[in-house]
Amino acid sequence: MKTIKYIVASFAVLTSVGLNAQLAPDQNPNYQNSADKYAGQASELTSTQSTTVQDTYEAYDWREAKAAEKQERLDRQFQLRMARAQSNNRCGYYNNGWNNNGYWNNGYYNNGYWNNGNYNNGNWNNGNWNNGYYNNYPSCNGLLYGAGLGLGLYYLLN
Amino acid sequence: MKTIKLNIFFIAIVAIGLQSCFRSVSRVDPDEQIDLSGGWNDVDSKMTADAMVEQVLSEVWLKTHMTEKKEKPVVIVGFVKNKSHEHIDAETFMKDIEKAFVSSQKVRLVQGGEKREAVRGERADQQDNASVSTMKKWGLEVGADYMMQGAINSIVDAIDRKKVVYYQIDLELTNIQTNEIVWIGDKKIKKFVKN
Repeated sequence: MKTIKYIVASFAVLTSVGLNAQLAPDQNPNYQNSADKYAGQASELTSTQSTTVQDTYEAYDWREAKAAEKQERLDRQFQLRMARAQSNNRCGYYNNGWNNNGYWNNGYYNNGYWNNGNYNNGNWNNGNWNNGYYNNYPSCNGLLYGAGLGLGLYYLLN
Repeated sequence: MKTIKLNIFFIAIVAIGLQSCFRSVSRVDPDEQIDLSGGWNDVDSKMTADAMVEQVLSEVWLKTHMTEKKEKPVVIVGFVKNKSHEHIDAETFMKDIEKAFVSSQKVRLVQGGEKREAVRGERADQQDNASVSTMKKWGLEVGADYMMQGAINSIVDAIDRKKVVYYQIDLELTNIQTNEIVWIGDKKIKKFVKN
């Protein structure tokens, strides 16, 4: 038993001496931790060598700002034209796309401030402004229903 | 008389109009300075390359290395980070610097990144396809002593149609063994742009 202990101890001493012999002067003995950590990432970390990593930011430029404004204006006009063309069926004057094109329905007037009960508490929604005055134009559905009803009555009476 | 004058005027207008319809292309000297938009251009790249080459080959790190190691330093090019407001490819001036390393014979350069992968791929291919006498061996690449890395930064000050743009390009050499920065070079460019 004592012999085995001596063998194990001497093996441990020899191993540590051997490991220390591999260390350069002043080298950190824990270097292997770092070596193991980076060994697996080597190809990933070197993939950007000889390249330019783009991490740009946006700065104000008068020309670009002008161009962006123009583009925004054109887009808005295009959307308005599209909305008008889509609702160009003369069914409902107030439903012609102008007020339903995203401009007035863009979240600003629908953000809780104008829809928080203060302006929707019955004072402004008491029928005075919703009395049919602004909704007295025939809608497409109404026309269709009327036509269907008329045709039905015509066939029934005949 | 009046009709002739009107005709001449009309022909001149048509001629100018037609001329403007055709695209014109001409070769110019690469050293000629042409600034169009005020953004980063070839002139800035060249100025940066010239300044960096002059600094990196003349400063003390090179002498120190030669004295200590008795051999030329080996450099690998790492990445350059563009943190400016414009898309800038640093390869235009980095290549000029690499070329100066090779042509001056003061600094040795090793390949990195994608190109190194391609070289290793070719070496792998040679193991199966090249003759034994010409086949290149693994594990004999030259290890770099230093890595060159850099950054491009910019500051923009603009109001209405006026703009001042300041670029600062920094390159540095880091000792791969000790992590010590042995050289920092920079180039500063300031532009005043009026639209």
